[in-house]
Amino acid sequence: MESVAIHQPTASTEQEQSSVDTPLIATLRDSAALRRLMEEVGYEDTSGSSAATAYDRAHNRHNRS
Amino acid sequence: MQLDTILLKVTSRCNIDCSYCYVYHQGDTSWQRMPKHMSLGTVEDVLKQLPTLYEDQQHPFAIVLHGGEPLLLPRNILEALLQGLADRLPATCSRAIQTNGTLIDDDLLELCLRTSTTLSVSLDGPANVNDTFRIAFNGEGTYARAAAGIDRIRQHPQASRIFTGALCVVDPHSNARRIYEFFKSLAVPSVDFLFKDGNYAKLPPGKTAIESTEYGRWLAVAWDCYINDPDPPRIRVLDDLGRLLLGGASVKEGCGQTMYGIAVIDTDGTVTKNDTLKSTYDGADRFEKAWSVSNDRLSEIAASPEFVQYSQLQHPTSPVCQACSLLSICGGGMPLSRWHPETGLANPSIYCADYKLVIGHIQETLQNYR
Repeated sequence: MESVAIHQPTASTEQEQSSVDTPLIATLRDSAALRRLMEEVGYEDTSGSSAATAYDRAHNRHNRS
Repeated sequence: MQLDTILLKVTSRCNIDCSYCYVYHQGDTSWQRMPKHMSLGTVEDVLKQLPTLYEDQQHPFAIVLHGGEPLLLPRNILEALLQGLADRLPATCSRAIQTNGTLIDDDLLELCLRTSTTLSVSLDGPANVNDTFRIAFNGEGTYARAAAGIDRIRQHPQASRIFTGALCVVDPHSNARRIYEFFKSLAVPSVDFLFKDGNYAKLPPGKTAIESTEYGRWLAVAWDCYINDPDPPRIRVLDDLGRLLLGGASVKEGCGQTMYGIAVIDTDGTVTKNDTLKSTYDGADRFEKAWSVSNDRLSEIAASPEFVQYSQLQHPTSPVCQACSLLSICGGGMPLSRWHPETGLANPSIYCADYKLVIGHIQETLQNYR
């Protein structure tokens, strides 16, 4: 897959989008969000959570605006 | 076909007038022919049919109250519905209300607590962003009233049992980092970011061309904020994309290739297709057969060829999609965004370029920091 750069939005946009230039994480495990996802898909054995219980499927599920 | 979501359209009217709303402002007119709210009689039919569905399929499903604005339902009928669902269905059949937040009061919170019903509030960001699209009939913004509703939930001593989070429709002109930080400041347990509804005949606000990537860039910035946050809320769409790229599964239609069983019960009891199809053309969410919760068994509807055919719309039929290496991740997006007035749904999503950008960005993260 090609690498994707986050360019500035078109001139019509009111505010600029900018990515985080220097990620604070060194590995995937340093990121709380990624660690949570990896645990859920079974990348790691954890005693505290599992894919079946770590995520409440009701949260925002099939909601519409 | 197993049903996993029952969307109850308990009201057909709303007390605000969001300019992007697919119910009132995308061409569908069915709301005009509906009763303003579900009657007690229809609620009783729902309360008979849903336990029967559970017995028939022996598998839980989520129930979402929706509208219009569901809190316009007279309180005695709302109480009968929520109490009936709590009494007659197991706790695994979750009950949720998707509200604009402007009508939340303490009695409602107690009712939610008593019946194990959760609340999710639609809010697009701080006032300067939210009030661009989420406006009242007099043209004024609705942010202050929605934010007051969220405050009221958060002040409840058992807020964590009631409040599931916020639903934010993306304005790609907004600054994604500021929107992320805004929802963090609200301490919402979860957020879902939705792309605005649109199709080949009518591009959504903020998307300048089929090939443009305003929405994808916005979501990629939100991803960067998310993975660097030491205490992140749940963000459904980013969780789904991340989990799919890590080899897991999604939980909602619109990404991944899981086929979901979604039935909508309209205000008069009519059973319809996924209501978001309303944004394509008038009557697009209607089955040919006029099923009703008053006369028809939901498990039999779900097993019918017409229902199965409708559910299979979730899988894209465009050769472009079927040959794409990202199909297992984006799933072709929401069917409504594939619609073209001449070719129907046999097209890639209008958000195809956006999906490619954000999926590529997430995959780059996963590769760089593995």
